[in-house]
Amino acid sequence: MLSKLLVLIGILSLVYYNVHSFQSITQLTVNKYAKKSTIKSLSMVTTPIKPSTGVSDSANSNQMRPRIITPWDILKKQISGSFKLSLDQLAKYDYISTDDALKAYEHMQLCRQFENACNQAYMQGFIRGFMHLDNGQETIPAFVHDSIRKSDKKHSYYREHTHALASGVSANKIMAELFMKVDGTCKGAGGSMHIYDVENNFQGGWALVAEQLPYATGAARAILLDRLLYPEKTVGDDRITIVFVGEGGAQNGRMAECLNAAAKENLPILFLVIDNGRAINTFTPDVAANSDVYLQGKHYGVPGVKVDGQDLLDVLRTGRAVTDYVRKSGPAIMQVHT
Amino acid sequence: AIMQVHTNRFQGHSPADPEHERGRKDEKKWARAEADPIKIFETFALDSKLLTENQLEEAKKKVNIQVKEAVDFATKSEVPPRSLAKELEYPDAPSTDYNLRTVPETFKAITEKIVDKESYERVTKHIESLRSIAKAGTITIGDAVNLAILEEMIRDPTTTIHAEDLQAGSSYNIPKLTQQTFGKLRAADEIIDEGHFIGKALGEGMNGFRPIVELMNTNFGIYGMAELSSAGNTYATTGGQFQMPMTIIGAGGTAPNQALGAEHSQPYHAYVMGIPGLKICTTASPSGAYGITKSLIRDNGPGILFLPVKMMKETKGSLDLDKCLPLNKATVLHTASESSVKENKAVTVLTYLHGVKEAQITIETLKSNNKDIDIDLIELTSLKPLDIETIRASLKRTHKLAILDESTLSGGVGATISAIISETCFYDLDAPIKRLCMDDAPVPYASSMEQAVVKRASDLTAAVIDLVNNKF
Repeated sequence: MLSKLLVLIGILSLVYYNVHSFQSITQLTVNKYAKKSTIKSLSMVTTPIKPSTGVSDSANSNQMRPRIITPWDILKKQISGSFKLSLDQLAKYDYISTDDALKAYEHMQLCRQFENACNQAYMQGFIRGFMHLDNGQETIPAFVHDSIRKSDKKHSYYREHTHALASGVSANKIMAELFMKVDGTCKGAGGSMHIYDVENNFQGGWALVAEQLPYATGAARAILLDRLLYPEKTVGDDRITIVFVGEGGAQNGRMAECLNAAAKENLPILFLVIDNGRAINTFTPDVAANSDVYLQGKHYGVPGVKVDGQDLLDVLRTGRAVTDYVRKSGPAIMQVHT
Repeated sequence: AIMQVHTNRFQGHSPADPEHERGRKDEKKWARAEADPIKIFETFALDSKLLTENQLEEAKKKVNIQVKEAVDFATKSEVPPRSLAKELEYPDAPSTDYNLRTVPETFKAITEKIVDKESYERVTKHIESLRSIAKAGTITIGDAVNLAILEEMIRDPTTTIHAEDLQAGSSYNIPKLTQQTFGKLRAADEIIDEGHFIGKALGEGMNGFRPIVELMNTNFGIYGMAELSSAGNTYATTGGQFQMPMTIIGAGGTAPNQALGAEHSQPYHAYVMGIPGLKICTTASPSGAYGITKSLIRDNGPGILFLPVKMMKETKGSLDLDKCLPLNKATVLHTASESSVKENKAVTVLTYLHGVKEAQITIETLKSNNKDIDIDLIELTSLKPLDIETIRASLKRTHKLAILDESTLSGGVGATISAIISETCFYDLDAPIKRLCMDDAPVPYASSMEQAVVKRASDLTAAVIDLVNNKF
């Protein structure tokens, strides 16, 4: 009798604890904006910034590039419309466990600290040549770490250290590669812009802007070819290819070609658009008529969504929903505004 | 706007095509019978009494005569002379002196109208400050190119410039102040796609404008191979009707120990050697950069200037202000001592871009360790056309040649030059040409590996000594 009571108390405590945690997590969804920083120069703004979907964060709207606000309930409605999924189907992505949230946080910290270590090593001369750091964009590797599997194929660009980390590539081997050592991922032949790891299906590490788009499209075709040649071995295969490209790189003609290819052959490919508003050193709206790359798919029937990259949990939720869609149905675009 | 017209093509893609793709036979049969726009219009015109049978017949007869005339004219016409192909290679002969070029009187007025007073004053101030730095002998390669571009863009309002990060000054300040002075239409920021904006430059070149394209790094020019190739073809293929005054400038090349990785170390200079109609220049000095840029801009054909990516900000010098340099001349940087020539211990060294720096190290090393050996150092400021006369003059003294080449064994710059020299200067050579080029391998990031792939001063010094000691 006493033991049953203790078990009951134990269960009730667990339930209380989880419900309480869930509430704490939903508290985290309330966006806490950074302090207003000093405005650099309004004369730098040459084109009006039109937030299309995702309302501009009015608290910082005098910034050249404010955050966008994409609350989860609004995101769900957008995903529902674009991806043709019901709100019921999307409800399962509401909940993120404490465990997963902590894992994601830890991974963001790994990425931030790794990049900071690279910065220091570069200044000390241990890393040479060109290096591109991902500070500020950590929710993206956090999502990759959360939703993307070892068997999925990953194609990234030259700012890829954190994508490699998120894909399971050893931090030791990445750092050794940057340090030009034989124990690096590519025995020192590649360097910062050319991280590859065949075991983890991390297929680059590419330096020329947008070149990774057709390569990733081919990798997605390889998944379909695997299923064609080895049906017994690929029962239930739901691998995907994820390709990372900037909103600047996505102005390249290859984006249109690859969206067409993905649509035409219904390829399992997720276009992850890293929208940070800068194409190398150019404010992207100065040269791009439309930075809403996630809408480029409309012409081809490829659904897309744009999410505020400063909100970890919404990026995780959106990422999970979009990744599941690509696994089950077809190509998609997820634009992360950072 | 976009206007999409839904049609049927009666003939094959070309007469050579077998047209056995699915559905084509039936489709052709049906289309010729039921979808002929001429037949459809004839039926409509007669049914609606828009036109008479007679009008239609007259029209047909009239054009029938025209077509017969055309075939007749073509049959009776002469074939072009063999020599025309070579004549159409460049609109401006390689030996052109661009200092003699003038611009129409109207240009000054046009510039005054389209450049506002404030911008003009600002750019004039900037030009003056660059000119003083140049006179002081401390101007960098990047700034030297910027000065040349600004001067030429003021002189000739038909010049335009395209670059990534143009408004920000790109990587070496080459396009600095161009957009602020000449506006966004003449000085355009570009999306990251070299094929795209080299293509746009081609269109401008065909329509009365003089485009300059800056490649952030010449490696990225690979994206624009098709467009650059077509720029090279334009003058000849149009029978001389369209000139192509396109100037491409970029920093690139492969310095020893530069650690930029494979995709930033490719020898674009080697890849473009074979493009017809393209003039190719290199420089490792601010004075060369300034003088060659001015000439290339004034030249009416396509031209490309390669700058050394690792020397853009450190290498400083003076300029021969307002002077255009020839596009077909090599530059003698160092002459071997008379004693070394007399003792048969002098070697001609050809190099370009970062090789110039390496060769200068070799000169110093020889001075310390092998005082009797010396080199004639010739910088290949013109890669195409090649200045064979300057090379020959040196070979007549040394009879030995080494090429320090930052392109690969296969298809490299050194390979082309070595072949040309062997063919034309055979009797002036006492030894096989020593080519120090990159291995046929992607340039590795790690310096320890890269040492084996990219040849440098130590390799050149050893090669020179070997040649002198008849070791080959």
